[in-house]
Amino acid sequence: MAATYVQDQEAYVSSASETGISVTLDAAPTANNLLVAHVHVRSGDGISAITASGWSGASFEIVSGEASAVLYKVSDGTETTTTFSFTGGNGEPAAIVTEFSGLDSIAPFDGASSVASGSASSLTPSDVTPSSAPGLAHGGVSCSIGSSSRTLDTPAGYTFIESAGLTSAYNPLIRTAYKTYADTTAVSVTGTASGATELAVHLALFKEPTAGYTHPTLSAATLVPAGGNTYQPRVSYSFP
Amino acid sequence: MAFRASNVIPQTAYQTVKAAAVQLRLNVQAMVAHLAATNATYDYLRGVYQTLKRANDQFTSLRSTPGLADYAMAQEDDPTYDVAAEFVGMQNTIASALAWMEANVPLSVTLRPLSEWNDGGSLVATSFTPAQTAQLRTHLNEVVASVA
Repeated sequence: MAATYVQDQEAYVSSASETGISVTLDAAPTANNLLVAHVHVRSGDGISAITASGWSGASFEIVSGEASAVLYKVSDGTETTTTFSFTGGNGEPAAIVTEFSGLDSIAPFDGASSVASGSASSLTPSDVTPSSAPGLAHGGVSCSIGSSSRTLDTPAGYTFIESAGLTSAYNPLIRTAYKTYADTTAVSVTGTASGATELAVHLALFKEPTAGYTHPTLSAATLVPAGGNTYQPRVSYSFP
Repeated sequence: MAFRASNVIPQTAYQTVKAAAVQLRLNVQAMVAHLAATNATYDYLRGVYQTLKRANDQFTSLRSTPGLADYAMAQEDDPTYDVAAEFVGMQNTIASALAWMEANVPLSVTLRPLSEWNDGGSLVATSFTPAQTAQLRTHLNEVVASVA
């Protein structure tokens, strides 16, 4: 079963001092389906992270005080409403949450790339090469509109999911899209706006279930405490 | 009396149960293939457990939806299909797989000196061979077989 779009919902708050934003899906998601969120905060000066309990970050960008992030989570069926919090600052937020079925329930994330600019009408983050196929690419374009209204285009080759925010001056705006791929050829996305604006483009890849699972290797260096403790925990392994 | 808008109706509950069962089967089939083909890390087995538990918890929360059984029977339009029994049977296979993992996958943590780590400085991965997970694969195949 190929990865399939299930549902989405968007949210926007017309206030420049928000420390978070909540998105409520129309229906409770299905257990083990994948949830992907794109959050953008206009005038988000000082924001160092965008988080939600139980969610993992795929990519994060901050430029000229505009923060944006893509996050994901394997659903346990309870995430009808999710609140995304901003660390270190506040701003005017918009967000989109999308549910997909048919993806891996253990380690769906297969890489991400993102890029942002204080003034651009088109941006292309680095290509991402899937470790396995088939899979799903989530492309998100977001911007903080200046004094002139702007619109965002659906990336070429992608299927439109949702738009959040407003196209008029001094508002955040998000446009998300997705596509599936059948082989491990590098995946790209280009985000374009109707004119120069503070722009961010995110690309995240997610795997379908595969027998070729490879768990990421933990680095010993990151586990050694600064105090120089020479003993580290390791899970014992023996079956009765 | 207010209009009851916040409760889950049988149609929504049954659609979610079906979708969750399909998603579970899809993933468990891949898990069985992976466990048979190669050694599985402790983290992978934890993912297997979490996948089973997430589905089982949602099934449990939805099975008490008023009218679910009657709605499901009407939708399937098959007098020989006992949807309630099959639902219970599916959950029983999941429970068996979870019980096996709880009884057989060690949860204890030991301390190992850094010198026992491999030359690359990476954590020595705890792994379980296909032979060690053979019984688990049997339980997982029963989960797959319980979903048509």
